[in-house]
Amino acid sequence: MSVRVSTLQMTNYAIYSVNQTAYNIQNAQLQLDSGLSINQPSDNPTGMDQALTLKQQSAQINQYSSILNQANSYLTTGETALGGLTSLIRQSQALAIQAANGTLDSATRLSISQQIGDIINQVVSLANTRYGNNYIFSGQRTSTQPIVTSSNSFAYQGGTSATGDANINLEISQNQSITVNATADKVFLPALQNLQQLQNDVGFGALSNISNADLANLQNTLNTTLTSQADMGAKIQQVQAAAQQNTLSQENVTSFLSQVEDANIPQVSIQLQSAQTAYQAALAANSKLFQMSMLNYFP
Amino acid sequence: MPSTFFGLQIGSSALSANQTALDVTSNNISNMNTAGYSRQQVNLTEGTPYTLPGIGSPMLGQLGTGVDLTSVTRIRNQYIDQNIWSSTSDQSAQNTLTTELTQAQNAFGEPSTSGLSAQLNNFFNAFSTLSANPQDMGLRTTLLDTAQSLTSQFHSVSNALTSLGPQINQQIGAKLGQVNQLASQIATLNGQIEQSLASGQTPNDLMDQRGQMITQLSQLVGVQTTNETNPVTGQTDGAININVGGFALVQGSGTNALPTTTSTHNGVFGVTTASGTFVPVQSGQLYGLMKANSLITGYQNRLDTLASTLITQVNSIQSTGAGLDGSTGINFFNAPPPPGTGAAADITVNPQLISNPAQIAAATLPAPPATPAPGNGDNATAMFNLANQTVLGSDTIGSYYNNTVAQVGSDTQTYQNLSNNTQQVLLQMQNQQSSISGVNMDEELTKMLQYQRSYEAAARVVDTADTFVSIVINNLGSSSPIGP
Repeated sequence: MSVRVSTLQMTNYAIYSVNQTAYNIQNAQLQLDSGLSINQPSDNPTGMDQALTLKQQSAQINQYSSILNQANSYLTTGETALGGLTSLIRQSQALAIQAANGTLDSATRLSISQQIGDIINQVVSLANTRYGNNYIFSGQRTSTQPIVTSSNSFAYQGGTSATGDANINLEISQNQSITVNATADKVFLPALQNLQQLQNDVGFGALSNISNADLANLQNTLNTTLTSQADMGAKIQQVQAAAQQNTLSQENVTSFLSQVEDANIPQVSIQLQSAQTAYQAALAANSKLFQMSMLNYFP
Repeated sequence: MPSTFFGLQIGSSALSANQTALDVTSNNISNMNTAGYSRQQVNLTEGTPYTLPGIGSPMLGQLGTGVDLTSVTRIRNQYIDQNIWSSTSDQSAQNTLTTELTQAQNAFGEPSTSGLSAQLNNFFNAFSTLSANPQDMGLRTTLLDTAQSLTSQFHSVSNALTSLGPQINQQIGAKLGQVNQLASQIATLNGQIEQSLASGQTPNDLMDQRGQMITQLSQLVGVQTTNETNPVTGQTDGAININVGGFALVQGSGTNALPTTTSTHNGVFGVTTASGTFVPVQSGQLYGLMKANSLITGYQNRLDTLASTLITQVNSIQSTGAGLDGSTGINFFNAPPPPGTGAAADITVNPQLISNPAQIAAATLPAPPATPAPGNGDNATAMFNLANQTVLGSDTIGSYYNNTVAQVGSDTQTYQNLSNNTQQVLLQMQNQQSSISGVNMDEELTKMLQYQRSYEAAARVVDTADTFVSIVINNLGSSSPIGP
């Protein structure tokens, strides 16, 4: 059987093959320009779904990173304040031991009492520490000053467990919350009350009170403070570990996302090159083909 | 013994046959690029022989009387035509679906950093950010901006999708009109072809035109074609009858107008006649448009379900908390419209919140008589956690949206691939038909030379015969003997 090829068939095929190779070039170009292998959902529907899900995960991990940063700042600020309280209590313990010495003259006792007064002021100021505009020892009542002083007595105005607004909880990873604060009624208020008692006892010269009750109370306060400080320290470590874990997850998600949606640049470059070659070949073949005609041989 | 002019007549028959053959060649070259044209060929036969009377035997023999041009016929394979028509319908349907679904896919605008997926992420993350600093008015305002950006993206996707519906319906109307117009043109051609055939002619060009029109009709709607038979003779009369899903669109030279009321019957797309008969439309651009319309409505419904669920869920969490000012029970989004009325186009942030961001319920409600504390962001955390809750079957809000996008992408890809494959098949068939009926320029030029030379030869024969006659007329019977 002889095969017949019509002129229109040749033309159509030439146009078709040029179009096909041009489409291949455009496709490779699009991938190189955007750097993405998925430029619309139909390019790879499954990949598109994966890419969107991964981006969602990535956005959440980023968000948790930012929350972890805040938790870290919150905790570090609190821990520093508690550290300040620890050293102030230690100073007051030294002063109490000094004051308990029966041979001291009244001038020295007055000086010690004044020093304890300075410590009290510093403790009040520490209790009212702020992070940004928020009082960090007020529980959830972040705009309320936790400790107020009136005529040598102290009152706590912040949130308490009893009213259910003591804890500031930040969600640092999915379904994991962490309390990032301590309330002043647990640490600062007892310290202030003990210090006030000490100052009074020093003023009145109640030496046996100082050496028995006051020193013991101060030690208790110190222990409470140290526990609270250690608790915060542990949480800081927990937050930092979570932040590291987060960074790792982010790297994983990013690398997976890149596998799913990024164009394979070397491969696409080669595809582009071979598509260009094919395009040129098609053009060359067509232009040669259509020059061939019997008309060339007529006189 | 034949007449003196016998040779002239033979030559003359050759001259006229070759001249006509050259005309046919010329027509072939002219229509080389005409769509649907079939090359034509001349059918030559030997002339009726002249019987030489014999003396001893009944006859001495027979003498040819030249050439007869009996007919000019087109060269075409009708069976390939039928395959082409059916593949054309499939390809047109798939191509139309690809075009329309690509537009639907573009409506979603993914992948993008400003698409709904990214906006949903931003929206939920803004609640997490607020949870760490719930008394910060700046963060509250930012959250409301993010929410408004999300709602406007919902509007834009929804509008882009819904605007496709009217466009598609308009196209369906226009194409149904074209179907009926083509049907009446085909019927007219049927009539002309029947008459022409009945009078013994070969209406090549009319048949080509009709074939081309059926191809155009096949692009619009899938058709079944049958050759009409004359009930009296039982022979085909040349007319082609056309059915659409059992509906007799063209019968001989008559037509029945295809109804223009679109409808769906048991999940099959079609049109309904005035008397209520359902006519299925199963391929062609019309099918593509109807199918695309139904798919796009499906995407739109998913988008509405998504928006409606988001409104309900966010409002429900908002209602369990309290604002900075202690306010409770204020909707975050305006209440959704009734189901099926376009929640995606309607979703709006409650304007009361926009003018008073303190009323975003970031805090959980404490047990009375306590009032909500400004540093309580637990309800905002709950709102953030909504992002990971399976509130739509086994889907979260985010994954439901991602699946929708993947579904649109997958449908588009499917029809793109089908369309490409059918295009290949169609191209093969067209090649096959073109290989039979298409004009090859070199072939026609060769034939042109052939007929030209034959014409020259015939002219030479006439010239030679003429010299014979000339001798008889001019030289015989004159006074002078033959020769110088």
